[in-house]
Amino acid sequence: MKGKTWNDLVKPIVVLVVICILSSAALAGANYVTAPIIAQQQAAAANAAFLAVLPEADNFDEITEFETTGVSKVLKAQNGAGWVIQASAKGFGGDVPAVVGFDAEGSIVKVQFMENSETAGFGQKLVDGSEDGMKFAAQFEGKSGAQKIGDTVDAITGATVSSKAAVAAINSAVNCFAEVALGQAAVVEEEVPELTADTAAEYLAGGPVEPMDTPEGLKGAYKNGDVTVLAAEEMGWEYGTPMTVMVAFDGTGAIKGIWADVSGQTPGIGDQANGSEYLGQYTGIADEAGLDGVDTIAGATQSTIGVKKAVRKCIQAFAAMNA
Amino acid sequence: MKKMQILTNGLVKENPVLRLVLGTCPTLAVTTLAFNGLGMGVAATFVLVCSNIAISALRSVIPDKVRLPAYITVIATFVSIVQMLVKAFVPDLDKALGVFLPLIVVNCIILGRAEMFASKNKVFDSALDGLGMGLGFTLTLVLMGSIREIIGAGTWFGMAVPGLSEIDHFTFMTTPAGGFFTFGCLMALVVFIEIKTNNRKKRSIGCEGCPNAAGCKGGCE
Repeated sequence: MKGKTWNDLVKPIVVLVVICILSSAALAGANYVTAPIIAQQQAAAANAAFLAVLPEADNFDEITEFETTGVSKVLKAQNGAGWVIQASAKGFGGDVPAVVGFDAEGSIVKVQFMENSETAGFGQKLVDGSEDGMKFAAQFEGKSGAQKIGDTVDAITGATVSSKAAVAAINSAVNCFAEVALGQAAVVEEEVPELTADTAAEYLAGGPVEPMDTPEGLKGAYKNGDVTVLAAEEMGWEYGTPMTVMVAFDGTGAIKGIWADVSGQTPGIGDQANGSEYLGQYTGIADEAGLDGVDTIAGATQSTIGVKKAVRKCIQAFAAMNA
Repeated sequence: MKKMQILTNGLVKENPVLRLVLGTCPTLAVTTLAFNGLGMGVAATFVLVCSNIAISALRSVIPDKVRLPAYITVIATFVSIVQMLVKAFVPDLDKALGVFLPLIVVNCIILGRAEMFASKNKVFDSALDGLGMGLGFTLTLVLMGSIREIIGAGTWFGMAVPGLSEIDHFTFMTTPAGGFFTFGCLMALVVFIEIKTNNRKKRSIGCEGCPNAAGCKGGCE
């Protein structure tokens, strides 16, 4: 029946469609009126953070040409008061972003840390308004040039990793200032690829490697031209998994590079055993005696001793191979 | 019902939060500060009045089968408009209410009144009902928010209460547990007033006691 079809099938659809059309019209109208105002609000809020670190600035021009790694935003004050640079570095739980205000000569005016996911009560002190956090940020005011924990500034007690990341972020900003304001060359850190046991040998040797006969006690041996890469396994942290350590020797028998698999060590602590600060000490060492001068990292003793033991094994094996 | 009675109905006798027990979620979440309670109440009242008017105007047009999708679309439209207005003109309130502002869409008070009143009454009456219920909601929120803020933080609408701001505060009141506690106390107070004024209605558990009973006609079974 026409009446029944209209009431049961067609009318509900028509009514709903009409209601939706009217709703959409109302929403579009409201959006048209409010969208510009909302955009203005958000811009003002973002600007507020930048004005906080460089109070004498009025408005900013954004500079997009910069190469320094770790920097996300560069702003130049229109009235010449200085620069505001936003940079970040990897902390304990993720990125630690910092906004740094520089005056025209490059001295830090003020530092403010933005939202991060560091541990509450430790790294979070950077942003939660606590006294420790404010004291830490205040240390940077007036300083210029690269900062170093223990040297020019102190870390937040108990939040070493987060503090180091904060300082690294600030140093990135300092480097960027040198690049954009003083015209110096940019400090671009090469992305070190995530290495695994399979790819590390190739990376250390600088090219494709051929496997050799593995000496007794070692896990693997590879060769590329006159570079030899030996792999040994050693326990690091007593509750972790064994670490594979690869040592690359150049033609003269000196160590040219090391990679350690720290996936089984404590994140943020034991994985410093694969960090450039620690491993850099080994470069150039050619015999066991040289190992005596290598310092382990306090707080990551087991992991770094484990790496040292593995390197010792490799040096001994290398000497035996070439004796 | 007389017009004035419709309006005052929502204030105490059928207070949506304390008697009908609708919209408890934003009530508990938002009343940590009296200002937030006021803001939420005003936003919800605006949506309630507008949606009641719209649904009452369309009550003869919307077929029974699709009434819920139609109501929700209308309510969601008004909530989106309110959200845009708040974001543009009172961004502090937007930050304070957070996700509870768009959650007004599923606030039971609004859908409940649409079902129970607006779909069966004239436009002006529905508007009055929306206004009354909204005012009752707002008053309850402001009352709860004030209690929790004064005892828990020593301030009222952000201003320090003289004499209270120096001593240690009972911060329990600003936690969710404190919210439940305050809520329970206020409900008990209203029941007490009802008993004393001999207005105690016998309420049973189950479909007969549910305030929506007239609306869904036992449709859950």
